[in-house]
Amino acid sequence: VSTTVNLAKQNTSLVEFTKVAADPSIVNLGQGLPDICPPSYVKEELAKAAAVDRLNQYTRGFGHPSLVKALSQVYERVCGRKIDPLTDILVTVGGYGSLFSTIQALIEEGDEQLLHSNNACFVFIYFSKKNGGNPASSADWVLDPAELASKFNSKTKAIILNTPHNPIGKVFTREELQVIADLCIKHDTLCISDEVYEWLVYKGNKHIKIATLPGMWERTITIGSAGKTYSVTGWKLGWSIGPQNLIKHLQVVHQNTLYTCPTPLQEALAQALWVDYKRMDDPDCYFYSLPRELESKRDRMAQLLQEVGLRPVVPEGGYFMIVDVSTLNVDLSDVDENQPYDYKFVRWMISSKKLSAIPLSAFCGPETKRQFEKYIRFCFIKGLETRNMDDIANNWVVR
Amino acid sequence: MSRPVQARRLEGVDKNIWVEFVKLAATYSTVNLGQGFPDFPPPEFLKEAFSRAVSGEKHMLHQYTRAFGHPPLVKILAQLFGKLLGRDLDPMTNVMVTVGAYQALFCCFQAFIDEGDEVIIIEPFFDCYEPMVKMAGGTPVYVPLRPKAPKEGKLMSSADWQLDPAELASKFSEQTKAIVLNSPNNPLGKVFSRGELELIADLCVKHDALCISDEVYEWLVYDGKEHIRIASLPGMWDRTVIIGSAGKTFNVTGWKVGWTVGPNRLLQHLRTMHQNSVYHCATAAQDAVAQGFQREFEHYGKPDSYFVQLPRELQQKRDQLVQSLVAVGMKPIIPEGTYFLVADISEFKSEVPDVPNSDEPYDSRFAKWMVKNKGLAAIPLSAFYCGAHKNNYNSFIRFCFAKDATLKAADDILQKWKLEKAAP
Repeated sequence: VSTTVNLAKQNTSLVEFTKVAADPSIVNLGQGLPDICPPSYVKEELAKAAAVDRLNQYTRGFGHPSLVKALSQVYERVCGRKIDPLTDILVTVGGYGSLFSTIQALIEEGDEQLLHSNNACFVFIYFSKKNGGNPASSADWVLDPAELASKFNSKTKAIILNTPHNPIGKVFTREELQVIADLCIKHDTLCISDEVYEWLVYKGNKHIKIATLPGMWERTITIGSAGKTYSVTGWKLGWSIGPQNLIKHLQVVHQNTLYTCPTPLQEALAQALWVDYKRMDDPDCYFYSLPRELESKRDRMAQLLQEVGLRPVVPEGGYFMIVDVSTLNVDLSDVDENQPYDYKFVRWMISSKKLSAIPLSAFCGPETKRQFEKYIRFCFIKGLETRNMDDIANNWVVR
Repeated sequence: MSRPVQARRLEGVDKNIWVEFVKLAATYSTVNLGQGFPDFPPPEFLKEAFSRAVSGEKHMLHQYTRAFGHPPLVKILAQLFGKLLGRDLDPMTNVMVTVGAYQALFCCFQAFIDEGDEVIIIEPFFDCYEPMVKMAGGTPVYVPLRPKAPKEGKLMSSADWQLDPAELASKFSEQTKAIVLNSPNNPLGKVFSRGELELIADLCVKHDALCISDEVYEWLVYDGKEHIRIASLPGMWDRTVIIGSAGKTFNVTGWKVGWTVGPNRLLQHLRTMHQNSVYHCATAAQDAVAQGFQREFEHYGKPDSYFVQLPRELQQKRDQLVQSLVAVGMKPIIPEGTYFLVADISEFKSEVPDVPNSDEPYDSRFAKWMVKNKGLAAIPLSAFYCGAHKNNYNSFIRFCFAKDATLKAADDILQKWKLEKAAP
């Protein structure tokens, strides 16, 4: 088997927990799987597209023409700069596919890559809690500027930024982005900016694109996702946007990996984007109505978790919430010592409370697993009727 | 940046024939028999299945499904291929769904090929094999199909293009990790015979090599020929990954649903590659394809099976195109399978002269001339050869005949061309 596969085998945690929670008697708040409906016009556009014979055949490899046109219009508006649909955009199989294409295109053996949340292969920097203590909001999780600066060196090829952040829900401020931008410019580093949750920001917060900061457009790939924008994760459509001299390399990877993305999905997405592009000044635009809907789900979940004695870290964006479970003092010392506490807690919670989540240390490199093992991640883009919430609460009370 | 921004793995894999020819065909208003996709609709039962998946009650079909393949799809694939291979297949471990057969190929090369590994590629080949092997750090080793002269007065058949057994054997070495087999073959349309497959199988077993078997055109075989799956030959199941495509099976190339079938010891590595590259494939199309296969499984072998009707329809189109090409002076090679046909254009060197010492192969210049002057697009056969061999077989062009209206329009062009040639 190739060395590629041996390196890749380390990433199996999410796969494992997704399997465990597939049991229908368990309330699954682990995987980021919306169980709310996508907007009806989105589904209708897909049905319409599939009825056109030509749209069931191959389209342009780097992105269906009507889709890249729609994306260029939406993002021209957001970024305030001209974006060429043919050279500055690549459509990929989900945000995941964009990350893969970007890293395959631009990262070499020997390059260092900074990941501000952790991953086994890279140089990482982790969040620390502002003022120590117990964070109540994702804003309380920060990067130490001096520490961040110390991680950059001549081998640093790129930094991977994720804002709004999965799993913490942090929305990086302009000042925080400026710190990162300054370092990128100083060290001539690329920035891979995963912004799939870009529309999901809650009151008091603003999503800022690092590519719009001075000196950053030419060194940034910005990644977006239809799945997160329209609650259609099963469409697996994403995109990378950036300067031609970077995107052209992603296009080469794409033409040698899967060549083209599905046509009817791309056409439908294009039509949906036009609907919302036309109402970007209107509060009913789905880009704004979805976060409003999610904000109330966020608040209800935070309240419920507090009621059962846990300590949620309220997110500024995204649809995940991390929760400090150490407050319950559940003794799991008789279970396998080698497992981080959060893994043991989640398994205990699945079997005794019929509720599943993802242990936060699944998102950490080996050096920091122990530091984050008192947190677990919940997803709140869920139907979560009042009845379900009561069930969850009751299950907790009955110990 | 003082050093190149892109990674070294992109060296030599940036050119792509399709990007160039698709642009060319679009620039001139052409009748496009170049790129391989149908211009007629997918079967009604499949369109209906997709419509149900998208608009029906199961709104969760718009969300992630199982990463390695939507359960209804892997189950029916395991059933169907189990029946075809005479084996019990586990849908969870012997089948994996991919974003088209293209991504299946990518996963195979990434999973099995390392720096220094050799991969045998039979020429002419579907062009992506070469850059994929290179991107994985492997070394492609080429072996050609060689045309034998057809019987007196007869047109050549794709069966007349054959491997030289001694030559093939000489390509296997200690470094040989895998051979890529594509049967039915794109571009020639060759359907490898049992004898030819046994030859390849013996060498794989002898050298402990893997076989990546691209069988996307498995249902498109003509004249009563049989598509034989190399994985069913002795010693081969355990070392073969079979690749298939809904796009080619059901005429929905734009859905990009493909799959791999093979032993768990090989598929486990494809799963690792898959979960680290795209992770999931789109759900709704998988659901629809599953329903399509369910219908075909129930109608298997019956006259109203799509797998019976489609090749019958395409055979007629093949024969129609052959006649028109003969009339204009080209020499078509009758394909035993696929929806491609290769024709010898050496007759046209009077109309489109050869330029000695040109960098560009003759067939490529001819194809471009034909686009600009006749409004008809086809792909030069040299596109399907490695750089060093592009001039070995450079007087052939490939047509796609999975066409309805386009084929009629092509026929008009060819008739007109024939008359122009006849005129003094």
